Amino acid sequence: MVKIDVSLCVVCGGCIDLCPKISIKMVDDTVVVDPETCSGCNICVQVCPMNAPYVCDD
Amino acid sequence: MLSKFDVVIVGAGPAGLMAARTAAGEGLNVALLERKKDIPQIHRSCGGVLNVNEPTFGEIVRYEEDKKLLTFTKQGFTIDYDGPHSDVYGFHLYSPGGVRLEFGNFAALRNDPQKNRYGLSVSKEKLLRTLLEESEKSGAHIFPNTNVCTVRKEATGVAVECEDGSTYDGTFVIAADGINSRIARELKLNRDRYFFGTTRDAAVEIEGNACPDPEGFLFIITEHGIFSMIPLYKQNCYHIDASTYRRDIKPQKLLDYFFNEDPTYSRWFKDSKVLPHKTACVVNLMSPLEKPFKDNVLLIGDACWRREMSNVGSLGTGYKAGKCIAGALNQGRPTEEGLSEYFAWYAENYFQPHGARKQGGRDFSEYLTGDDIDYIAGLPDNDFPQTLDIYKMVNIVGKTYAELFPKIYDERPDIMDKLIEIREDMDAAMERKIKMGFRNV
Ligand SMILES: Cc1cc2nc3c(=O)[nH]c(=O)nc-3n(C[C@H](O)[C@H](O)[C@H](O)COP(=O)(O)OP(=O)(O)OC[C@H]3O[C@@H](n4cnc5c(N)ncnc54)[C@H](O)[C@@H]3O)c2cc1C
Ligand code: SF4
Ligand code: SF4
Repeated sequence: MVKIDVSLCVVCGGCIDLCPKISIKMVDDTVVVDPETCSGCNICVQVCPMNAPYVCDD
Repeated sequence: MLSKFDVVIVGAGPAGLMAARTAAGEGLNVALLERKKDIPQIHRSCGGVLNVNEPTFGEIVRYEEDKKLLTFTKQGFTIDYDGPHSDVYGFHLYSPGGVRLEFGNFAALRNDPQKNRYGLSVSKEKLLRTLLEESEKSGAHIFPNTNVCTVRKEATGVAVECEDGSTYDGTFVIAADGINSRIARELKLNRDRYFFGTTRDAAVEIEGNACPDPEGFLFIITEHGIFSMIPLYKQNCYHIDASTYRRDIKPQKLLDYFFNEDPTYSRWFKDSKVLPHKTACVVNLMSPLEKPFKDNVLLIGDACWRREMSNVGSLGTGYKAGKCIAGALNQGRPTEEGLSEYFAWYAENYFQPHGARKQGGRDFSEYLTGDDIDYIAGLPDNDFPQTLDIYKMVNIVGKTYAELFPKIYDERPDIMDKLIEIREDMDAAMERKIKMGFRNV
């Protein structure tokens, strides 16, 4: 699954807009991935201008 | 708390906030939903320039220094702005080796900034905060921290569904959710739009800079990409943005290159300090919506447009949308027909003049060397007319170079061959961009 490195994320919203599963949301001005619905397609990883999303195993 | 509203507005950028202030000021029961918690904070890149004095989408905005008032003279409304600002006169284009194309002679224009500036660089945060406070004062219900998922047509209006399970019903909905509008996607409006690819930008603010024209909106073409530099409202501070279509390039890396390695431009930034505020953006480029409406949802601002509609353009649609929806409801016509004035106005000022344009945006450095571009940039012998209107700038450049082709053909047939190649490759280049993009249908 995918997580967001909040130290790199600038909260531009680009990945939220383009995630096909609508799995990314903004909570208190922090961007988080919903592990329940994320399909692991990696689009957010490729889209992000800041390199903030990353694939992790747990 | 009522859950049925006259109008539910999604997105609190310039377009949505202006719509909320206007609709609430007309006495409508308004809900404004925004995914950000701190609404005026800017996370998505924007230079913060307002087009003033020069016609923009049929509007002319003036800023009166003494009254601290932005006046939209055609539509006849004002916005208070008493924050800091700086003046911007027009575009300058730079080639890789430093040849400059000027749109306006800044030295002469500086004599009367209030009259001659075509841009006012403002604190967008302050502007949005003012609109937010005025919307609240007029009675709009503001819902921050609210992620909208989709809209659903109902018998008497539209239901807006949020990620936390809450629903807001509106007789009308205004989608002001920005360039990659989820609502446009959910309404299936993107299916009929041409898709031109995805750009990804990273931007920083810097203090101090040795560029020779600090009052310019600069586009700097280098062999590694195109950069823009805009003076900020803060004294001696600039917004610098790097943009790319390519999936294998991180825009952040482009900025590093520009500041530290570019043979022509890095020297401008030797003594610059990078400020902490970083922004980014991802932009899906699509043809604008000819009819920005479906199932009682009106799309305004960037949500219905190709790329940036601009702050002034977006504020204009917000005001007009608020007025026309109030008019439709007051006349008891809560339908598409009730908004016919809005559609006519949008067609005249937005879609007809600018909407049908094909997306150009080729990356010349794929074909031409830095020296080639320097040669081309050095050809025109006149300064161009002053402008801060991107559509006008593109037209001027196109017309100028069409006239220069015979000269290029004579002097540099090698470059002419490459220009012909660019033209012949246009469709294939577009295909490559579309492949690299992330279409949201
Ligand atoms: C690099 C760059 C530089 C620019 N510089 C300038 C400039 O100098 N001058 C100028 O005039 N224009 C500039 N622009 C363009 C300008 O920023 C936009 O045209 C303008 O902000 C559009 O306003 P808007 O209200 O339509 O959309 P936005 O400002 O994008 O606002 C949309 C709002 O909707 C919210 N939202 C989105 N989706 C949802 C959802 N699902 N649920 C809830 N809320 C949601 C977002 O959080 C956001 O607050 C620039 C753009 C870029 C990319
Ligand atoms: S695209 Fe990147 S920077 Fe922008 S919100 Fe997503 S993770 Fe953050
Ligand atoms: S991996 Fe795909 S589904 Fe998962 S959050 Fe990223 S874009 Fe969405």
